[in-house]
Amino acid sequence: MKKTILFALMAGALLFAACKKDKKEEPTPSNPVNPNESEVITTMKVYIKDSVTLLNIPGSPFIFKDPDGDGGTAGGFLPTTADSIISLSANTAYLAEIILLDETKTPVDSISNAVKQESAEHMFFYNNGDNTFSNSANPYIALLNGSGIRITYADLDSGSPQRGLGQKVWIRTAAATSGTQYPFKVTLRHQPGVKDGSFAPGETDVEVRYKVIVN
Amino acid sequence: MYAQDCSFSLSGKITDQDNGELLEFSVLHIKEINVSITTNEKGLYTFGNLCKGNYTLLITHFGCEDTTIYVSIEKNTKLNIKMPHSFNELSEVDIVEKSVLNPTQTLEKVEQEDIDKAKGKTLADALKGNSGITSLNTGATISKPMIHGLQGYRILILNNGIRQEGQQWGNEHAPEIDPFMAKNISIVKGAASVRYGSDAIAGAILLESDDLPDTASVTGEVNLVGFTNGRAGVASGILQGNFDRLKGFAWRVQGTLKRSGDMATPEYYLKNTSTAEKNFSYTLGYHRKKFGAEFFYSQFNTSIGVFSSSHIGNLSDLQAAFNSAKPQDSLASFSYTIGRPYQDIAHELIKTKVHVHTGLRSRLYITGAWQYNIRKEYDKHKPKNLLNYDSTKADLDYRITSKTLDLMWEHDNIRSFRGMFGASYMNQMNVYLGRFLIPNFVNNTWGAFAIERFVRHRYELEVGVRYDEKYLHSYYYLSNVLQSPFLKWKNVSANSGANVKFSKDLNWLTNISTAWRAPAVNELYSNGLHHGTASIEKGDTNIRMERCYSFISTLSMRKKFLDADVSVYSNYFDGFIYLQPGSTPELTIKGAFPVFYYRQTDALISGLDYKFTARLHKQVSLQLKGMFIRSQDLTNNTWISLMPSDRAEASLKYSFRDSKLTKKTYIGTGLQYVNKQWRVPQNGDYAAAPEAYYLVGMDASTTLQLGKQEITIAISLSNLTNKKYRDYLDRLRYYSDAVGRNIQFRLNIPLIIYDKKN
Repeated sequence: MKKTILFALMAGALLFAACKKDKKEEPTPSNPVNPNESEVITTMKVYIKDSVTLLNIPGSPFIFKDPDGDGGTAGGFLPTTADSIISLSANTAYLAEIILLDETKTPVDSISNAVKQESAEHMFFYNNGDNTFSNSANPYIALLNGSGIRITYADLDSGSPQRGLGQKVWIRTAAATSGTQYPFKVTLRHQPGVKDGSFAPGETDVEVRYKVIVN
Repeated sequence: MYAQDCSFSLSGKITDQDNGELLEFSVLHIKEINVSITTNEKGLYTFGNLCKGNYTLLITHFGCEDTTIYVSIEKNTKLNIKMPHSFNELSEVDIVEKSVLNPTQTLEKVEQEDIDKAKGKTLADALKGNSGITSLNTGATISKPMIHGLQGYRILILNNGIRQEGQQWGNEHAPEIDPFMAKNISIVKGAASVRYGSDAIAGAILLESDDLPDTASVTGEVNLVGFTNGRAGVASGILQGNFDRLKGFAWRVQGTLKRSGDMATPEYYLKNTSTAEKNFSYTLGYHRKKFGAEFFYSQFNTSIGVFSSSHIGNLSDLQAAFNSAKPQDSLASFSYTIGRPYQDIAHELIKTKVHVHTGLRSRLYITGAWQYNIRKEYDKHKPKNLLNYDSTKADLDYRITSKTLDLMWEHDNIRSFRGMFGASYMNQMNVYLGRFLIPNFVNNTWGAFAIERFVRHRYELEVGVRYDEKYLHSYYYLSNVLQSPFLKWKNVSANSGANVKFSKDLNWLTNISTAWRAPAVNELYSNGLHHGTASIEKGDTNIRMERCYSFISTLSMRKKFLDADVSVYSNYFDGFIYLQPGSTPELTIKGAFPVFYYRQTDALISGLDYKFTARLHKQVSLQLKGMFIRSQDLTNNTWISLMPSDRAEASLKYSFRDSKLTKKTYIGTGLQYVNKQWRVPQNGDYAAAPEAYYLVGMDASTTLQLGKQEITIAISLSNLTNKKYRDYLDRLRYYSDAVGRNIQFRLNIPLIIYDKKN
């Protein structure tokens, strides 16, 4: 009999735990949710300025736009595909800054500001596609193998210890590449709780492949 | 005293009471002299050299009720006997025929031993003991059953006669059912569309609760299960009874609680693979002689952690995951925590069923059901730009409400015909509250069917036909403009089959059918990124319905020393809907992603299932079972992806003799071989199919008789050698090894609290 009571209690307890239902969320076919309510990154702008004059170099900002974020309509470089080629001068220093936008929102939402606020769990990486990193400690330095381009992080995150963020970087070119285009990949990695200054942990938020040529 | 005269004969003819058919192979037994004979092809029998006296004559014939006749022999006697069929239509209490299933289809019961071994695991795990059944998995905790390589929309799951309506479109969406609720599970292999609805192209899975008790009693059952892998605990109980004072009323309550932690591969724990489950159901029934009604309510709630390394950013991440020996989030330590990403699912079912006897041999059933399914999926991270992000709200949130009404009238033998006629209607509404993946929709479906069966003792013939109409109104945004396409389909399904009983122990059935399926919303409209597979899936609004022509033939033998079942099947699809890899990746801000398009092709899926059980000795039996399957894309001359590879399993079982204290005691061991899936389309996958593997298992069980109380204790070991492997049909194979050794402990305690019979 004890078992009966025990079981009845168990069953009773379960009976009261009915489905959590929200009356106002009853299905209504005429009212689908507008899809653009979650995180969407539509646009990446790479501003490259001469480090002395602080003027944009020709073609800057280099824009990649994916009008509805990943999925849906495909993305592309603006205004033409040729804008994926970044032309730099030999033996010159530049200052570069990455701006990320969500242009589906009105007003346009700055994702790069959100990244800066959560800098301890994000990091930008620059390489030729091999995801290697020459110096994963302060000062953070990336070498673009082949082109001789050296990228030095100009900002640090808010974590402890402080690590590079890479939203702002210095670019220093070496000798001219005699017309050869080298891959130049910009990646934003989301590394909550696992950021250690290297590429591998976490997952990719943004990945855009430019080409670079040094004249 | 006089010399006993023993020269009399008893002879006559055995016929079917209903249709006058002459019954060959009827066995007649005279108890007093222990002599048995069999009727000839004209149904005639003769006993000779009988002495004067009274005899008890026992007549048996398969498909008929055993009949006992007392005869007094004083001279040569002629006795013609009409055999009644073996259903309980004249029974005192109302018994609902369970023979409503089409007997010319390959219908397999899932063996109790397989149901027991899968206790605490998923529904698909219980079914996999039957050859031809595999599953599409996302790790060890999410499992979708597959019949002959087909899953999802193409099979129907019937929970106590109600078609389970959840979010079937996702490969990581497991059926929302508590397997503990089902006393019997059976599988219809091959198209079951005529009876169950146009979607059941590949078959149906039928889960049935036990009948409610019909005598005054309170009984029950407690099941306790523990697992070493995942350190899981499961408790499930049933309590049922029949009211002594309220004649005809019976009730049942049932519930299951389950908690499991991180699963372990042979080398590491899989982070965030814990699950929690809480299910219950209750039933109230009222049965009188010619009328019965049943009310059923069930609720299924589960939270499932999704292995955190399987949520990735882009294709480069996926390739990195595949190239690393260990996943990023492999852990050295165990945890019960369910963190992000996870799924939170609830399913509710209310059912009312009424049946009325419309004559001595016919019944009318009316079933109405309401189902509500909530699927919430939480992403690994919150969106960056939403400062007011409410982390309690799901990122993907789907709610589907289904209302069904079914009418069915069935009749037992009228002359030699048995049959059923029915009509069904379903209204379904889906709404999403989170991110868009599939649209909101309203789906209205109705259908009507007729099945007639010509039943003779040696063979049965069956013909069925069904007509369905489906109306689908969808709503979604495309570039901020509301789209509301309306589509409709109507078509016919048909089925014909034969079941030939060569003898009592040899049976052959063949079924030819055609069935169709309307494309589902994701096949039409999906347009999004799947984080788990780093791919973009694109629906196509031009997709038309899919038509299948299928053939299945099964030979079953039940001999004293050997049971054998062999099925061959072939399904030809006109417009098979599948995902085709695109030739160029799509560029997004997250990098390039492969694109998969929903396309249609002509496909041929054929195969063979086999199962042999040899009883080598009174206590030793050997079983061999397995399947071969070939899935061809005929249009593109390639293979279809995500199909099971050939596999086989051999097992040996030793049963101990019963003793005063123990019964049903056995120990068994099994070896399972799964071949590498060599037959995959080129460029259709990110990584080659994993290698073939062997798994060793062991199990033992005994039922103890402790006074009046029975207790069954069992132990099952899976992946005994802790083998490191990956399986082609496991979505997590890109990221991690499959789970390692697992030891399951089971305790089953039947309860008899009160029973008037005793």
